[in-house]
Amino acid sequence: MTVNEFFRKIFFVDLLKGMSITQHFFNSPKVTLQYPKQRWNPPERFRGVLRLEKDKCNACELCVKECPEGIIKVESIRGDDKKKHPVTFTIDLKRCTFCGFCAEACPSEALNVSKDYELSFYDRDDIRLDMERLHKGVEITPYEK
Amino acid sequence: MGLLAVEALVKIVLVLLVLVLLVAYMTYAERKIVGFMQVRLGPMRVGPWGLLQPIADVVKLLIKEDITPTMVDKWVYWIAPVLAVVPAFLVFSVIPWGDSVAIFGRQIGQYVADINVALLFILAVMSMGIYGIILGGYSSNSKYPLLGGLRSAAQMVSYEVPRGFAIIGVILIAQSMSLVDIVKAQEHSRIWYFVPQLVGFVIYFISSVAECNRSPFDLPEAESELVGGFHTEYSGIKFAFFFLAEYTNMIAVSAVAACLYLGGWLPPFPNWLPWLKVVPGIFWFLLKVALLLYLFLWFRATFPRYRYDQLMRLNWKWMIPVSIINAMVTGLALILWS
Repeated sequence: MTVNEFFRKIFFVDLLKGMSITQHFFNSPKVTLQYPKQRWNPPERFRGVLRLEKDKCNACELCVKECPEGIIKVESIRGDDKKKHPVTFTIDLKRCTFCGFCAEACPSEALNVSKDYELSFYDRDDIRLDMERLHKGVEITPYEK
Repeated sequence: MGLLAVEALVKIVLVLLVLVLLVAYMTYAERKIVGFMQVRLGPMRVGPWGLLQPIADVVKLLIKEDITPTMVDKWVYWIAPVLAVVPAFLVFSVIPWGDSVAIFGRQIGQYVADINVALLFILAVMSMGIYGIILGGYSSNSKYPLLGGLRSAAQMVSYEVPRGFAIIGVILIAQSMSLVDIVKAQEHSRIWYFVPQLVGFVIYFISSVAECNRSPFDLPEAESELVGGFHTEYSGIKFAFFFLAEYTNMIAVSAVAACLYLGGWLPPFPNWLPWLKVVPGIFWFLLKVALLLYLFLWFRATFPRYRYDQLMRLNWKWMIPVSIINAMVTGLALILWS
């Protein structure tokens, strides 16, 4: 132990330096977001849950082909105007990786990536999104207190 | 005689109530301050700014099921939390929080008792607190509590030695063991004893942190290695008792340090700022105690836990020799100057 080290030790130089650092953080602004009261604003290119504009969809099933997890199911009928319309359109969010490939593949821009991120459900069957819920967006119970 | 008893009873009830409330809000302060130092907010949901959190915690602990595990030593298991809590509260019977005041023509001292061996009493009673921890660890019939109890036995017994030696310096200067007399001696000499006894103050405080099993000396309840240490098997109200004992001990050592080294209820700078005397003494006393308690929390947020051999080395190779030298130098200086 050198003389310098000895004096550092008996005058608690290192300990006091550490304490000054914690005191600095004590005075600094806090990073906590009080979630239900304050909500997080996702960044511009955030990929949240998918949204479907069902009037634009022509049931080409490119999204079904593109999906790496194979979780999109589409059934369609040909309408009076000789165009295909989706009858059922379900996405099983349980296995969705939010890669956004389906939205990229969609030629009619019917399938889009939204910024909704509040995706907890009381029932595991609720995780399977059908056409109506994909159209309206996942319902969020607002926090009141 | 009757009036004296009533006076003492009122004081005891007041001190107990204030202490329990202080302990409750000490836990709140701890969570808040440590949270702030970790760039968090701490409790925010129960009441405004989480101010009712300690009350919610107390209610939760009180209505929790009181589990006595099978195969524990029942009597010892029951008595250990009480043995931990009672000495912690007893210390406050000799701590003065203000100068004596006249109420209805009677001089009423702001302390429960002023005995002439107060410091000796405090040291004796505080060392009793170890029994609660050792017995709690032993009676749980589980290896982690036993290890925690063993560690705390060695730690608390060792750190009592430098603390006792550090106090000797103050006793020598004040020539009294009564806390009231020590504070009055500081008023008389117009200097608080942390100035001539800085080394003693530092040693006293460090060994007090170790005595209270607080971080960075919290080996007896090191949660990352011993689950919860001596109170692993305790839950509900009995656990609350250990908790109460730990925090009461923190307040007690801070209050004793405030009396011994920081001038108790005296206002600062009596020469330059004489008008500070209009503020009642209890305010200054509580302010000093609060500052010392803040140090406890600051330490906890800053320092990592000592290893067991480091803990023992710090005590036996540094603190005890330095505290003995401090006591000897103080005695010599007193002889030379008088």
